[in-house]
Amino acid sequence: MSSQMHTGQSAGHRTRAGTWHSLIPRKAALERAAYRARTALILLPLLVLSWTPVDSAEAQQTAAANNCVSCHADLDDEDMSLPVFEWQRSVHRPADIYCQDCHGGNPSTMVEDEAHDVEMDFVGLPDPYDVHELCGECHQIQMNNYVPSPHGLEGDFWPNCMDCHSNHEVVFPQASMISIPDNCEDCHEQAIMDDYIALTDRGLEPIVEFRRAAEEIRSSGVPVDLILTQATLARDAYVERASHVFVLEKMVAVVDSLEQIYPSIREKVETARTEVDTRRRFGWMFIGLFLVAAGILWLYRRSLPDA
Amino acid sequence: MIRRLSNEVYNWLDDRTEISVIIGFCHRQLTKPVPRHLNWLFSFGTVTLMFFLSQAVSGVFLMIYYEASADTAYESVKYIMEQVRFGWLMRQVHTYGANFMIAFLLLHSVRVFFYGGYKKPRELTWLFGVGLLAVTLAFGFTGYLLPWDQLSYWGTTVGTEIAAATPLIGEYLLILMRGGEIISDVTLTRFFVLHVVLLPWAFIALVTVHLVLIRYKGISPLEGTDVPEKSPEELKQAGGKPFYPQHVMKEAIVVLLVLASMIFMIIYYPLPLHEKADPFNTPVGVKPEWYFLSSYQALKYLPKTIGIIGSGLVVLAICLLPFWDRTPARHPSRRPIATSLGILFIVLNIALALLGKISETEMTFMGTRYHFDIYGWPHAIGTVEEPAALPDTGGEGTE
Repeated sequence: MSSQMHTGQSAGHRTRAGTWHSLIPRKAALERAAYRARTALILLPLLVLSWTPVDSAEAQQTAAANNCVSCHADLDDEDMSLPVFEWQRSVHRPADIYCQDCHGGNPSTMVEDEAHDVEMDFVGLPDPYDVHELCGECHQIQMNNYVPSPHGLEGDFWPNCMDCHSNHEVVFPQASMISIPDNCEDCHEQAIMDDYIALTDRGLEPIVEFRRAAEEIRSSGVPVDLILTQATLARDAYVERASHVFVLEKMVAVVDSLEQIYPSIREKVETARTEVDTRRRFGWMFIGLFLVAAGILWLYRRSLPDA
Repeated sequence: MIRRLSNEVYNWLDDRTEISVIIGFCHRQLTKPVPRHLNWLFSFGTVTLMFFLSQAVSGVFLMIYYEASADTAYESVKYIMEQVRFGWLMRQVHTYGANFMIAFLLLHSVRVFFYGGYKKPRELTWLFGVGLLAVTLAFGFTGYLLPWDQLSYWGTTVGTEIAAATPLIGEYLLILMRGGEIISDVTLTRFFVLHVVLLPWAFIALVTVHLVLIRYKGISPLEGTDVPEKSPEELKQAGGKPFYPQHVMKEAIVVLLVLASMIFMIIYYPLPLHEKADPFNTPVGVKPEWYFLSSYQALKYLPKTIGIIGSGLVVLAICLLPFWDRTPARHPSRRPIATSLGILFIVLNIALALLGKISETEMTFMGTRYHFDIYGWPHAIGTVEEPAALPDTGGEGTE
């Protein structure tokens, strides 16, 4: 508490001084100072040689600095603890989306009632009919496409976001989600779902490939901005016009138009790759030259009378 | 005919410049014998000097296009990397060259320590060498900021914060280094001036004295300081080989091998330019460059003031090493305490650097995922696999 007060006072003082943008480094420095003070008496060699994992509760707190995570991870009731471990495997964790972002509540307290305070917008189990709005707070384009789709208003919001993307173990969207057992097949024939999967792959896989190639090439200094821009534009076009519309004809039209521009992006990727390969060939030529020169010098040195 | 002509040119030049004196001096220096124990490890100093020259050449090339302003620095480096013919090569040579130069300078220092090369009568050579190490590290620190990308911006933020912990003058030092409260345009300008004007001249001055002292006093023998050092003639009689060509060839071979390995690194592991610096967006796990990692990590375990004073004392101890270690023995096996302490110091530094490297990261061992806190201390965060690999389409969810 005192540490928080101290931080608050310092922040206020600096804000009045008009140097608000210096808050970032100062705050970090204060936190480090607190850490150092706590461990001032620990001997260095012990730290270097030690390798003992601590219990999971403390670990969670350190990893996520979030009391929802640290507390729920240790609950005996699996229904209450499993979501933490599912969330750890999700794409939301590296994206810094924590429990409170969907469930509300107060993650900074360890007091149960305060953590689950409804006045802090705590919602234990979101209404299935409102889930699209909850996810749509961040994923607006997807929500806008979903609501008028056959799964949205027309289908009484069934399935909703969680049915395909999961609630806690949210993995990166992939074509296989279109064919989830016991989910889609209740209403759709497998052949229809296969068509959707193939179409999604056709539309998105090249974009993933272009970006991966561009990032690999970029560090060599070969320009890839145009490749990345075109890949991003293609992706945006797909997301805005084909994602979550759930109408095959609309998706076919979008993917067909995208496939018109993919060859030109692919050509740019190939050109950039060729440039990288050329540099490597020249590099090997010089490596060879230097090694040969080193070999000649070594032989010359061996031939010297004093050697 | 050619010989006669060249003789005439030489004599004409000698009449006007007395060049024969300089040539005679150089010839004496080149043929001066060096001790028999000189092995391949004795070429690290030359490799470092070669990298300084390489840095000067590539640095001048970069300076033609580089613009030292917060608005344009990043774009100018990007331009050098992507548009200027062979600009990518010059930048990679300069960036990798900096790392290689520091690495070989550290290796050279370690070699001198273990061979007792700092002992009487070479105390001044050691002192100037420590000065060169300080200047080279300052080169690294100031040059790191110049590309003005996220890593360099926040790395420098962390680095300058360490200086702020110096007792009494910390705040003043911070303002002096940054030119204000935060890293800004002003910081970039003063780092640039230090990097391209003051430090190069400081290096040239120091290295000149360092080399003159080495040539004047000769390479350190392995015998103790209580044994009178051999004159060049005695060295020759004891089997010492001339500096040229024997030792120069050895150094040239090492230089060529190091250059070949640098080219390999450049073509297969080029050092990227990261996102442009964003003062409002702190990346996770900001760390300084590898050569500052051990001291950065050590400071985490100690109260700020004690850490800074301790670092200062370590630097002072290194500077004054020849004055407090006055034992006559030079051979590492004849001074076990110094050798053991040296090994311990190196191991401790490597361990701290590794801890610094893994701190604030996550790794999976034997099916258990660990988070390493700022001390590099592991915390189990569950028996989970790696987080889902993210196919990158350039944004959030798609289908």
